[in-house]
Amino acid sequence: MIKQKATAGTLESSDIFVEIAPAEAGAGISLDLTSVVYQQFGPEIEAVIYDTLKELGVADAALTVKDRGAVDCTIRARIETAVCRGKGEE
Amino acid sequence: MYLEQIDIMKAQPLLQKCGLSVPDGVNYTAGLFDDNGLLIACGSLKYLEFRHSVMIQGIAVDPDRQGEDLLGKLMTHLVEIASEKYYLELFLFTKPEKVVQFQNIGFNLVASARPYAALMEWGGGKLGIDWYLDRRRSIAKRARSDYYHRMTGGKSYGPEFDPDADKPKIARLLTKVPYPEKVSALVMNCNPFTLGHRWLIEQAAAESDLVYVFVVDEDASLFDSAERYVMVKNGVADLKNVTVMKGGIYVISSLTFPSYFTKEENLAKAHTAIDAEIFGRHIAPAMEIKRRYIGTEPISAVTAVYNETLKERLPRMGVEVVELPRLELDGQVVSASRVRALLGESREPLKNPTPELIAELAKLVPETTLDYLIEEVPKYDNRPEEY
Repeated sequence: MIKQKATAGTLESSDIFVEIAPAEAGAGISLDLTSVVYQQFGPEIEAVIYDTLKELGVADAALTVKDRGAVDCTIRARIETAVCRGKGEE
Repeated sequence: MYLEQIDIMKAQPLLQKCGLSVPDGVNYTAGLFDDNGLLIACGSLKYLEFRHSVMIQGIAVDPDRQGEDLLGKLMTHLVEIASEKYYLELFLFTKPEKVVQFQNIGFNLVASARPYAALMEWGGGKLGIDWYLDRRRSIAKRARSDYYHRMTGGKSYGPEFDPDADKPKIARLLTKVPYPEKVSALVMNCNPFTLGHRWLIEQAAAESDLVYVFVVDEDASLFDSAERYVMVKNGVADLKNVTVMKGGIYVISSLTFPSYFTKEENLAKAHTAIDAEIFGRHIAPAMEIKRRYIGTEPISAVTAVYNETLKERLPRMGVEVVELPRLELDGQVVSASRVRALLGESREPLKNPTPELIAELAKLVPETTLDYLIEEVPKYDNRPEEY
């Protein structure tokens, strides 16, 4: 359960900035992704984000994500951190 | 390298070096320093409390330190601070030539008014321009269906709504109704709604199939947004082809147009240009608006600049600007400021007004407004569906 608004990552080059906010139960995941490489990798980035959220058991959340060309492991790490902070576990 | 909160005046030399003036009324300023304690980048946040939004402005990066991605570091910090503060939307004012840099960071362009300024937004799927335009489209769609309903004598809501539109009889009926091509718009503050406003709207209504009136949605006037909206709505209820709506954040608000509320003429050029670009590039196409009606402006300097900007920019974007002389009475224009003066600049409903005062007011405002000014009227709620 995401309890509070939280951010992770940076807006610097090769990184990704994740903002996560609570959503009502049953609302599902709403993802607003902006990426400098959206044309080439948009669906792949989205897939990584959805997979990571699923692994972490997050079913309902609103995410705003700004990507500046992060690699997959960075994306995973940033999502995990944002979720931890959103759950208040940090 | 380190980041810390600084006083805006401390950022002045850097802003000056980048050709920027010190933004006023900011709530938070961050400075990025190098290891020698030299300020190399700065940026400020301004909280738009009424909008639950945050505006980023006054962003400067030392020209000698470009290419180090200092902007990314600075913006991360500012967005985090803004995010801690509850907000619905995050906006950014910058120069048109810097737009690409901020697009790389993830901001979306709302409108660019060369050579003055560009407005960008974070667009977290909340209250951004896309959401706003969706609302405008559905308001326009409903207005068109009402138009068909009137034109077919109450038989059809038109092809967009009527599931039976393809039935031959209704279809034949509809072919006789021309599509509402002549669509006009007015943007008004109506503080309060006068016969002058009413006259302008009447002229537009007589020359158009549909008219949209955007009531400025900002609580910086004597009468608040909800009151002004109700006064206009009641005041033109008999004009069936007129739809009144609140202008929202993208039409003359403290976001797009702060100078209207601060009365600074130089800034007015930039802000009026942004406002005109948003209207011409986004709102007019979404609502199929072909004309914008404005009244001549003999008094307010900012409004005069606004009219000039609209006349210069809107025709380029396919919107004709029609400027009408203001309604006059006893050699003076009928203006809301005259009414406010009679009311003693007070918003309280008049208790036991003299018959002379009522007669004087009745010359300037329609009955619907007069009722509102004199009687105790319950507060109206902000009806979101007309937002």
